[in-house]
Amino acid sequence: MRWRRAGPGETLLSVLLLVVLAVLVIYPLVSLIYGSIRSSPPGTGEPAYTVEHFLRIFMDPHFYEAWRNTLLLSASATLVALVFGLPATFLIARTDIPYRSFAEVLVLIPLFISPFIGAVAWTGLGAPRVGMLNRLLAFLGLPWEVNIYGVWGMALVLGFYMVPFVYLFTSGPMKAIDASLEEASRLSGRNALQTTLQITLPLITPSVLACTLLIMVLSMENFGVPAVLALPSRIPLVPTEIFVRFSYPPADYGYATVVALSLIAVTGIGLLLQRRIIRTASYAAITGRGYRVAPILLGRWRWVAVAILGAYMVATILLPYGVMMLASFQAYWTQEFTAFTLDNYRSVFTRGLLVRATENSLLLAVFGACVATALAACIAYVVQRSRAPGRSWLDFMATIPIGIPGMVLGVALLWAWIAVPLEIYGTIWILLIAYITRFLPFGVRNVSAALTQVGDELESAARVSGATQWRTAVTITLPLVRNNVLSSWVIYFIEFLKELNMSVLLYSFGSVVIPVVIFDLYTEGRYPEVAALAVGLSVLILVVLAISSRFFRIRISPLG
Amino acid sequence: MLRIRSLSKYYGARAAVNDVSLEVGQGELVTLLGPSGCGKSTTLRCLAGLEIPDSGEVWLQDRLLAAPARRVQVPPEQRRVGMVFQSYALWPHMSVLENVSYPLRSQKRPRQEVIKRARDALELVGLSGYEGSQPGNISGGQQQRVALARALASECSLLLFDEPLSNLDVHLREQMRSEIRDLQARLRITTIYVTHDQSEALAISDRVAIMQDGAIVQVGTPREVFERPATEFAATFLGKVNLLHAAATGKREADLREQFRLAGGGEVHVHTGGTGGPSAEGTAVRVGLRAELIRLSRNAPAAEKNVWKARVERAVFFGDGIDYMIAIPVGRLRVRTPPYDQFRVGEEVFASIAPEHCFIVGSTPQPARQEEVSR
Ligand SMILES: Nc1ncnc2c1ncn2[C@@H]1O[C@H](COP(=O)(O)OP(=O)(O)OP(=O)(O)O)[C@@H](O)[C@H]1O
Ligand SMILES: [Mg+2]
Repeated sequence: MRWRRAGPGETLLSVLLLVVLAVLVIYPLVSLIYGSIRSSPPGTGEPAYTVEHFLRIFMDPHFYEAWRNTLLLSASATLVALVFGLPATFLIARTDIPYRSFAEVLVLIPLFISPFIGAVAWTGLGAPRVGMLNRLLAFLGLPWEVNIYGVWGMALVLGFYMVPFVYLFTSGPMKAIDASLEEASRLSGRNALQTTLQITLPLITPSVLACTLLIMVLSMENFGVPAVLALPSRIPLVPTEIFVRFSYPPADYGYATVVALSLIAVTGIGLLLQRRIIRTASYAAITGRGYRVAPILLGRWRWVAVAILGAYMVATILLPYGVMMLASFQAYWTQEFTAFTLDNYRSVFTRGLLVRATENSLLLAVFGACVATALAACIAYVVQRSRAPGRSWLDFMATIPIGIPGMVLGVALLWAWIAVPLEIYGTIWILLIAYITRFLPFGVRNVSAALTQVGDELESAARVSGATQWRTAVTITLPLVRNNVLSSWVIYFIEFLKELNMSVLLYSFGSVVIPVVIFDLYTEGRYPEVAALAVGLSVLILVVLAISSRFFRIRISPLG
Repeated sequence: MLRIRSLSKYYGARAAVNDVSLEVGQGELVTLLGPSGCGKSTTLRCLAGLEIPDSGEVWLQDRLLAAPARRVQVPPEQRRVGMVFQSYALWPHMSVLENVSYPLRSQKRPRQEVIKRARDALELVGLSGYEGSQPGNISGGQQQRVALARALASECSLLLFDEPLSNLDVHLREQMRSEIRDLQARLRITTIYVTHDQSEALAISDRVAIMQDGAIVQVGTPREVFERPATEFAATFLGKVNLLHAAATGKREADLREQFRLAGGGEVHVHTGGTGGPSAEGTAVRVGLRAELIRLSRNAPAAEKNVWKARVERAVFFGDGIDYMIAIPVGRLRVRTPPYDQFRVGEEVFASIAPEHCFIVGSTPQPARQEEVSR
C-alpha cells in the first residue's frame, strides 16, 4: 500500500495512541527521575531538590552487596536455563523423539505459572529439614542437606523457570536451519555430535545470545523468587531491596527510587544490546532454497532421550508441584506427615480477604486483558499497516516497557499518580495501569508478528474491491490475525492473574489481589494454606489455558 | 567405480526410488535426468548416506556402502563422498577458506597441508584471493565455486551434484557447467550429476540416465538417448517430439531402412539401427519425429522418402527459431525451423525428414531392459 497517503482516521488514531503511551510509559519514567531528586516523600511537603539519595546509596556497602548478589544470581540462573534449555530445545525441535508435541507443551508450562509460586513449591522440596529432599536424605541416612534458601537455590528455581524462554527463542531458528548445511558437514567427515557443535550451534548463536541477555534481565528484575527464597534469610538483592525500603516502615522512598533507577539503567542497557544482536547478526540471508528439514533420527537413542527429557520435566515441574499439592492437604508442614485434611482449603477460601482479592483479580484479568489486547492490536496495526505520522515513535514507545522491571514501574507509578487528584492511586485503577503498561510489548509483538506474515496484497485486494480501510481492517485483517489476538488475550489474562511484583508495591486494602494474599500468608509462615491457594490459582490458570487451547492454537512470540 | 544394485527407497507405501541399478565407471560423469519428483535427489542422497535405502546395494570401488539386507549402512562422514548442494550449503559462520578446508580438517593432516590444499582447490575453481571473504558477501556464482572447491578439496572418490546450477542465471549456468565438466574430466572423478534440465544433461554427461517415477527408464550416451529414445517418456522428455501411430510392414531395405505404415495412411521410413531383424509385420509402434529435424520447403525436396504435403496452421516466432504447427494428411506436426525459414499461415509447403532422424518406440512405456541398465 505504498501509494497511499495517511488518511485522517489513521492519523487521529496514531495521535491518540501516542498520547496514551506518553501517559502510560513516558510520564512514569520522568516521575521516577523526579522522585529520585526530591527531598520529601511522595505526596507531602514542598518539593525541594537534592542529590542526597544518590550520595547516601553510593556510600552504602549494602547497595553493592545487593547488586553483587543480583548479578551472580542472574548469571547463574541464565547458565542453568541454557544448560537445560538448549539440549531440551534441540531434542524437541530437531529430532524424532517420541511424544514431541506433548513435550513441546510441557516445556512451556513454567511460563504460565508464577515463579513466585514455583519458588514456594520448591521450598517444599528443598527447605532445610522439612523439605521432601531432606527428609529423603535423612531417611536414607545420608549426611547431606539441601538448602534452597540462598543464591544457588534461587539460581536453580529461576533457571528452570526461564527454560521456556530458551525454547521460544531458539526452537524457531533451529527448525529453520537449512538441513543441507548439516549434511554438508556430515559429508565432510564429521559425525552427528561434531556437526551439532560445529555447525548447528554456531548458526543459532545470535538467537542464543539474544535470549541469554533477555533471561539475564528477567532474572535480575524477578521479585517472586527472592521474595520466597532470599527475604527469609535476609540475603539482599536489588528487587527485594526496593520492596523492603518501599513497604517496610519506616519507608525510605528516596532510597527505593534510586535503587530502582540503577536497576532500570542496567536492564535498559542489557535490552539495547539484545536488540542490536537481534537486528544485526542474522545468518538467514544466505541460506539458499531450503531443502525439507527432516528430523534427525536418533534410532534406539530416542527412548534414552525421551527418558532424560521426561526426568527433567518430572524433576522440575511434577515434583515441586506434587509436593506442594501434598502440603496443601496437610495440617502442618513438618517432618511428619499428618492426616489428609481439607482444612487449608476451607480456611483459605472462606477468608473475607480472599473473596475481595478474587473479585479484584478476576476483574483485572478479564477487563484488563480486554483493554490491553485492544490497545496492543491498535498499536500493532498502526505501526505495521498504516502510513500515519509518528508510527515509528509509537513502535519505540511500545517497546520501552520490556526494559522497565516490574518493581521499577511500581515505584515510578507511585511518583506519577500519588499527587494526581483523581481516584487512581490506592485503587484498583493503578493496578490496571501498571499491568497494561508492563505487559504491553508482549501483545504488540504478538500481533505484529502475525501482521508481518499476512501479505498486504490481501488487504489491497479488499480495498480494490471497494472496502474502506476500516472495513478492511475489521473484515480482512482482524480475522487473519485472530489467533494471535486471542492468544494475547489469554496470555494477558494469565499474566495479570499472577502478577506480584507491582501489585505488592501498589495494592491497598481495597485493591488486594490473589498473589498478594499468597505472599502475605507466606510471610506469616502459613505454608499449608499458601500451598492450598497456590494450587487453586495454578489450577485456574491451567484450566483457562486448556480450554482456550481447545478453541485456537495459542501463539507466543518471543519478546525482543 | 560406483555400482548401484536394485536400490529402492520408500516413503510410506510410495517408492521414491524403485529398483534402480546403475554402474558408473572410474572418472565417468553420469547424469540423472528426470522431471521434478521422480526420485533423483533421493537416489543421490542414498549414495551420500543421507538417506537410508530400503533395499539394494551401493558399492564404491570395493567398498560396500549400503546394503539393508546385510545391515550395512556406512554413515555419511565415513564415505569420502563430495557433494554440491542446490543451496550450496556454505556455512555462513565460516570464511571461504574455512569452508573449503573444513573437510580436510577432520582428516588429521598437518595444518600447513590443510591450508595448502584448500588454497589449491580455490585456485582450481578460480577463486584465489577470496579466502577471507564471508560466503554471504560473494555472488551466487562464486558461492557455487566455493561449494565445488569444498567438494573437491577432500579428495573424494565420488562427487555428487544435486541441481547445482538451478539457482544461477542462464548465462552463468552455461559457463559453470562447462567449467564443472572440464574440472571433472581433468581430475577424473567419478561423478553423478542430478538435473531436470535436458540440455544441461546432454551437454555435460558421458552417459545420461533418464528417470521416471523412481525408476531408470534408459541409460545411454547423450546421442543415444537423444536419437534412439527407448520409451515414449524418454522421447518426449528430451525435446519436442511428434509421435505417430504406425504398424510395422516387416519390410526392410538393404540400408536398414524399415518401412512402417502410418495409422492415417501412407508410409514412413525409419533407420532403426539394425540390431536383429525387422519388426514382425503388424507390430504396433510409434514413430518419433523431432520437431527440429523436420524440414519445410516451398518446392518439393529431392528425397523421395518421408515427404508430405503440408499446410501451415500456426507460426510462433521465438527469436532463435520459429515454431510451426502444420497439417499433413495423417495428422498434425510440430516443426521447429531456423528463424530465416519463413512461411505464412495457410501456405502450402512440403515437410520432410531423413529416415536416419526418425526413431521408433514401443507404443506403451517400457521398463528399461536389464542389459541396457548395467553395461
Ligand atoms: N522425506 C520425505 N518424505 C516423504 N516423501 C518424500 C521425502 N523425500 C522425498 N519424498 C518424495 O519422494 C519423491 C522423490 O523425491 P526427490 O526429492 O528425490 O525428487 P527429485 O527428482 O529430486 O525432484 P526435484 O527435481 O523436484 O528435486 C517425491 O515424490 C517426494 O515427494
Ligand atoms: Mg531434487
